[in-house]
Amino acid sequence: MDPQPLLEVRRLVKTFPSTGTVALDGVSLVLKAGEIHAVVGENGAGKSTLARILSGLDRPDSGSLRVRGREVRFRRPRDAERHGIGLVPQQSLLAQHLTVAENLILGREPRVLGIFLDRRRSYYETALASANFSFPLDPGAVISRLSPPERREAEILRALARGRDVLILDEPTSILTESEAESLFALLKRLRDAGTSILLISHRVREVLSSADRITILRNGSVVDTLRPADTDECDLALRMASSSSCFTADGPAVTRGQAVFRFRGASLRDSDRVTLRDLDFEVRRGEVYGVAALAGNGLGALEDLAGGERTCDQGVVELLGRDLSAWPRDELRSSILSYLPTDRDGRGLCLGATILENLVARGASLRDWSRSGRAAQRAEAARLLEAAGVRARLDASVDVLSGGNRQRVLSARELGSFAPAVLAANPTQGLDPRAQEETWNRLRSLAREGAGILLLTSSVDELFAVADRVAVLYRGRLTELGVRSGEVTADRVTRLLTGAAA
Amino acid sequence: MTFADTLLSDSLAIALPILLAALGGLFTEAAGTLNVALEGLIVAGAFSFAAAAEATGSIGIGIAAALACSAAFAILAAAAADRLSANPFVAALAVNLLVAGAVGIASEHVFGTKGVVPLADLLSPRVDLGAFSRIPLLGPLLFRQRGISYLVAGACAAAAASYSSTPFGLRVRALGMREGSLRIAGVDPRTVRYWAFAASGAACALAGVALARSVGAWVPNIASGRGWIALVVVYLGRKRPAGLALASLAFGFLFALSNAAQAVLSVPPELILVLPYVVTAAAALLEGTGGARGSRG
Amino acid sequence: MTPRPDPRKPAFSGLGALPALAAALAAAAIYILAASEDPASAFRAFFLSPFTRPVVLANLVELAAAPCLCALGTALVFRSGDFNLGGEGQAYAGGTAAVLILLAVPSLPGPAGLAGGFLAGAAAGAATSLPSALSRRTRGADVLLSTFLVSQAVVLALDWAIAGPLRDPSSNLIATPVVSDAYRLPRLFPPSGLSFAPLLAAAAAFCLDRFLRTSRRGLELNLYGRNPAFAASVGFRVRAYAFWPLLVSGALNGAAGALLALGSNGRAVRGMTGGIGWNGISIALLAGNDPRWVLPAALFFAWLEVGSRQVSILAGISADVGTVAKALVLLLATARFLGSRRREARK
Repeated sequence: MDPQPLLEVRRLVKTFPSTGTVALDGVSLVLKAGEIHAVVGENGAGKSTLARILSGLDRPDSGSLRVRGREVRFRRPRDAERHGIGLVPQQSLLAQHLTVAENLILGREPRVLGIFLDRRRSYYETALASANFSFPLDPGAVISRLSPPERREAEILRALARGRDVLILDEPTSILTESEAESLFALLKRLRDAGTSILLISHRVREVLSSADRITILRNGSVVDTLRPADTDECDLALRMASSSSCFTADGPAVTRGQAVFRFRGASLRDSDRVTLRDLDFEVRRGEVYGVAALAGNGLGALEDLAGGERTCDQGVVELLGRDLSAWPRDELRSSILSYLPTDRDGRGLCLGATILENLVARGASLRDWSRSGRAAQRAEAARLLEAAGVRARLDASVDVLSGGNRQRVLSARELGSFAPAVLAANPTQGLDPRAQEETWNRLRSLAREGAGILLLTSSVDELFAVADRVAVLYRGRLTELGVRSGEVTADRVTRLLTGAAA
Repeated sequence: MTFADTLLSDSLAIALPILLAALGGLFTEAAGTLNVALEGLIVAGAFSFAAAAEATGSIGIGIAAALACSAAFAILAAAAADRLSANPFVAALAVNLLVAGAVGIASEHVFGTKGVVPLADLLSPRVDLGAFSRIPLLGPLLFRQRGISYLVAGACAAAAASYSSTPFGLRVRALGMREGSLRIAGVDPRTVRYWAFAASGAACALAGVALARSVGAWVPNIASGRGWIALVVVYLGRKRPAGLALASLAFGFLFALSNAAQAVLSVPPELILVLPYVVTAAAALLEGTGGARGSRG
Repeated sequence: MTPRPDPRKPAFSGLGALPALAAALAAAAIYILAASEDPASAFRAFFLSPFTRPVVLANLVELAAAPCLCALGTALVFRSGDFNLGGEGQAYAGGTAAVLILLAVPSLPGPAGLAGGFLAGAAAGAATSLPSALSRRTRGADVLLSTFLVSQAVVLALDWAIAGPLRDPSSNLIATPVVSDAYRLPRLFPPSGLSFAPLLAAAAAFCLDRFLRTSRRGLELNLYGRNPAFAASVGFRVRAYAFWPLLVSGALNGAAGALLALGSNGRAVRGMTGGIGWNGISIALLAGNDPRWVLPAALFFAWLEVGSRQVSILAGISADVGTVAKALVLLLATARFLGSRRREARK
């Protein structure tokens, strides 16, 4: 008989009414004492929501939690802490100008004379804890001066200081290099052997297979299966994570490729002394859709910034139609040369608080004639675009009232409504239903047929295979070109590359 | 006392209330929302002290009233921002204005005038430590101040210590750096923010008490820009208690100089008072985050 | 993510300002009720007396003109996502400059002189805001802080100058000499102080409204103010929008100062701006930064001012009741009473 499970999750449901998404749709899982239990899934499968609920940062709509067989309710992080559960969040929650010790004792500070912070004791406790897990952390070091693995260690230390029994790690390796990640897993195994149960949330299949004792696969907010690493392999796991398991093996498209539109030559980018993109060398030509796929934390956002001209690279050069991208006047670039669907739809692609009409016309060229007659014409054109996009709303309504999917439609209508020789589409179908998704893909393909060079950046393999003529994968800042989509370039091969499994 | 004695001693006396108000402001700045109502809170503190102390004859009750009143106004600003999602900056500006109006009204009811009210009983006497106070320079500077100055100095030390060495100060600083670090530690960020505002109110209250007690009167607009100077001090002092102390002392010196200027120097006193603003303006203008927000060529 | 709103981006409130108005009036009413022995006549004095005599009403309208100009500029800066806290100094500089230039050229024809005075005022106001605008544009420096500091320095320097080298020694007022009578604002409705200034303010409001609602640059400015990253991404000229609104606001504040100086006194009096910069901010916020509502909001403030003056003369109630009412407007102008508009985005 199994020993009593340490932590048991039953039929958790969590919806976000503001966005209308169901993050968790009846998730159940069991964490046994002394195991490393991995939860894998694609972006948006509900992994982070699960972590937040288990650590008391979010409350579920329904479902129950049991710790050692007793039903518990977490209203705040302290409740989870009381039951020995600590979280290492994906985004750092360390106060960056405080020391390691100060971050560690926050909320339960030792005192002298009942008033003052007991620095000596907090240092001592921190040093002791960090020696306990053989972290070489200086308690007096300020967080902002630490390297990423050290920061991760500080996060882990904080979580352990709060909950000894269960450690939840949400994508702990996303800012680490491969060797740093390996030492992290060695540490997790040591912790497990010392009696801590670990819930490891990840989308990197290879890491999970080599470190976890059991694996639960999450897809679209539901559990697909829970299994042992021995019963699966990289390909199997990657495919079962994917929201559609069909393998696309479309025929190689007959592409008549022309002049280079985007050209990356040795482009590298560093983010606060870490390399995010390494030596990218590729071209996107007229008449093709060039697809780059990557999972979160592998540099896709940085690539988007480079290709969209939002940032310039530290080494190498990015050219657009033969001219250095940063040399283009932004106004001219965006009004007639480059169409851009950003991933950060609400922050960069749309202007919340403004009307739908304003959002539809807000591109250099279309705004040029804003006289009375010009406005009437723009209005008619915007109405046409809106209707063609299938959004039923008044032009003068605030864009805020639209659902995520409809916002995406407004964005696509503006950017893809007219022809531009270069198109940068970053996750262009996020939040869209299948039909609208199909329409966006068709539009991208037809723009390519009309002669545009399209750079598609996506975290969905389906999307990659639905639209791209040529395919590449970005993993830890390096680009692997797979060439023309054909029989050999199958979805499962791409999926394996995405998750760091061998090609 | 020589000219130098007076100048130094006055500098310190003027600097202390400014420093205390600035330390109060520092708590709110560190918590992420600078309370720009310091000027009004000083006035509120000074008035409620004068009114309560005059009515009861007790300095202690006066100080308690000042602390309560200024803290309440500060919390009003914080609550407008928290409960009604008002813009915290605008809400604090409004509190400045509210204090000006409310004190005007109250002054007519309490003192029967909107003007100056001499309250000689409230004047804080100068201490005289005999031999100590006759030490050249240091004597007048350290041992012949008004009694209230020592209280303010103590409060400054307490505020600075609380900022850098108590759990509360630590939480305030963590709040401004990353709110999530508090939430994951099981501390409610809103409570911390309210307390930070209350602290700024209390600090300004004592600063106001000090002003009223050093002139022995209630004077409308008694703060005369010291609250704004205190905000400037927060900025110039680089948000560190020691830096704040230096900046306040520099401003105290300038004020003392401008008081002395008429008699001794040939520089117009008003122009000396321009200096702090010019210096800080230059610092603010030259320091930037590099390029306009989200700008590109 | 912090739940606090960006301090530089006040909400555009529109009719959302009604609760603020109601609270302000209610507070005034309650105080009058409590403090007055004859509440009925005090109420009349506060709320109605401004409308009973044409001269008082005309003065009220005139009183609204200068704060209206200030508020228009402030609203423009708000629209671009920033906060001009330097209205006081910009207006002071404008008023003083207008007087100085007219004292220097005492024999121009009246209208030309007035126009020149206003231009000088606007130029001086713009010049006062120029350092902040420049450092905002080139270094991204904080406008809120720099406008306030520059303004304070200017206020103190002018206080000194008017009391010192610029002072008219023959006058009891601490003020400059009086400009030639030809340069005084002509009065349309003597004995009231009503001049064409309110028309000027209305015209300015109209132009600003046209600019913001029907010009391409106006639309771009609006979108930039709401989301600079978006504006930069779609290729608007974001550097210009970080610069010009502040300069225009400075010019409008300067013109308002010229209005104050050339209107009632014909000279620059020490401390003449008397909080006009702060009033401009309150009025802009009350109007939801919409130029169409700025003049009505300015009239409301002028009404509060005249009403509180009347109530203090006629009923012996402290005139500060008007200040308290204004403070409440400001306190609640950016508040949201209809619940949070949007739940915090997930993440």
